[in-house]
Amino acid sequence: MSIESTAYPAKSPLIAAELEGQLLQLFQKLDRPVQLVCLLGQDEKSTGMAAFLNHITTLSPQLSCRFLAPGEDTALDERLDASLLPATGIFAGEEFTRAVFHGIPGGKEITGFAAAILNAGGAAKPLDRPTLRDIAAIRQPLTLHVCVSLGCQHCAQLVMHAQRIALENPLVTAHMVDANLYPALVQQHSIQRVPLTILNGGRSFPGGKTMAELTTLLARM
Amino acid sequence: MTHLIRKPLEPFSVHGYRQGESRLYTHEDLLGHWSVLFFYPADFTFVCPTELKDLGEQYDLFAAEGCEIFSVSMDSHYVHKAWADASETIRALPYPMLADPAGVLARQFGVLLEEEGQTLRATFVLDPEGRVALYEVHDLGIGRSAAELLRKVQAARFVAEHGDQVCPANWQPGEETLTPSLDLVGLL
Repeated sequence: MSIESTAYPAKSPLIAAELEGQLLQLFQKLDRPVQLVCLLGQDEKSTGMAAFLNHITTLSPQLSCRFLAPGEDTALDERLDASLLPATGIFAGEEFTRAVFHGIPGGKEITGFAAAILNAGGAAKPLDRPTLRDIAAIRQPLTLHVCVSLGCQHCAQLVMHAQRIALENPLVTAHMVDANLYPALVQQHSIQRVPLTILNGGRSFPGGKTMAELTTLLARM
Repeated sequence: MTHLIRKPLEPFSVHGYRQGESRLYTHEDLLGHWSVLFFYPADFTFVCPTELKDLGEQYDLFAAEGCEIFSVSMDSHYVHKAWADASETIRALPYPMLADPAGVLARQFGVLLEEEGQTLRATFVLDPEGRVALYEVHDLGIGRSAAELLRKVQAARFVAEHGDQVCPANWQPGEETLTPSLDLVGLL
């Protein structure tokens, strides 16, 4: 059973008129439905994210959102990682694109969030053949949590690379994590700088990476 | 007036004292690993042993970062030994105490107080090639924190190993959500 979207504000103060105009134009590229599925907690950030998604979905008829509480769908809890709420998964219709956002993708992360929607909506930027080959060379199941700060210029690009890899390779799931919201995670992994990418919940690697660097690194895992 | 960042270490040779043993130390002892040069005004003073003790207690943490510590004052190594003989705290220090009575190191790093024959309270962190990565210089009465220094060494080492593709993070809970700024170039 989903939570009614009307339980949350219809507009987000984070989406100002200029951004709204840019997103409206961008989302005209969507040629299939995109569903934003969000696991919400009881906290302020969850309310903020619900409002953000409510607002986003007014910008294209292809966009819809669904809100759930953790525990309603245990398979979804696992896919989206319900330990870090709010958690929003991007679905191409009913198909999970393996792109997840933890927290509100404000700051520079809005670009990655828009890219993930475009990816799911059939408007992904084309990749060249060597890159696709490198992505296909990743043969281990990998869950990436890319820990970011919303003002970090290196983070958004890395998130976009990771989520594009996830779109192309079903073995990879890529989570953007606004680390500021999850102090336990920060403490557990001694995060002092971002981006920091945690692989399968264990080892981590720091710093921004080009697509080629990231695919090479992941293929070695 | 200029800064000392990336200044290369110049050759030197001074005596040093470490846990009962004296020997010559040269610039080569500071190469191949991160190093801290920890200048303090003089032996047998009050603030200094607390700083030196603090640093000694965190020595293993610095070592885990591949960083060696060298304290420096303008006392001779005989005075260092006398201080160690007189003080259990100093005797236990795990790092070398360099003796710079001629002010060779103090002049090289610009921290000599000529008229007082002492150095300022100054810390220099050198990379494995002997270049200054960061430094702090305090007036005489202002003490330093080993924990702060360790964080800076970790940051310097991190940036050296991973380039500038990272942003330092100040994880204070409650940071406001930043206004989104869309990079259309990255999407089109």
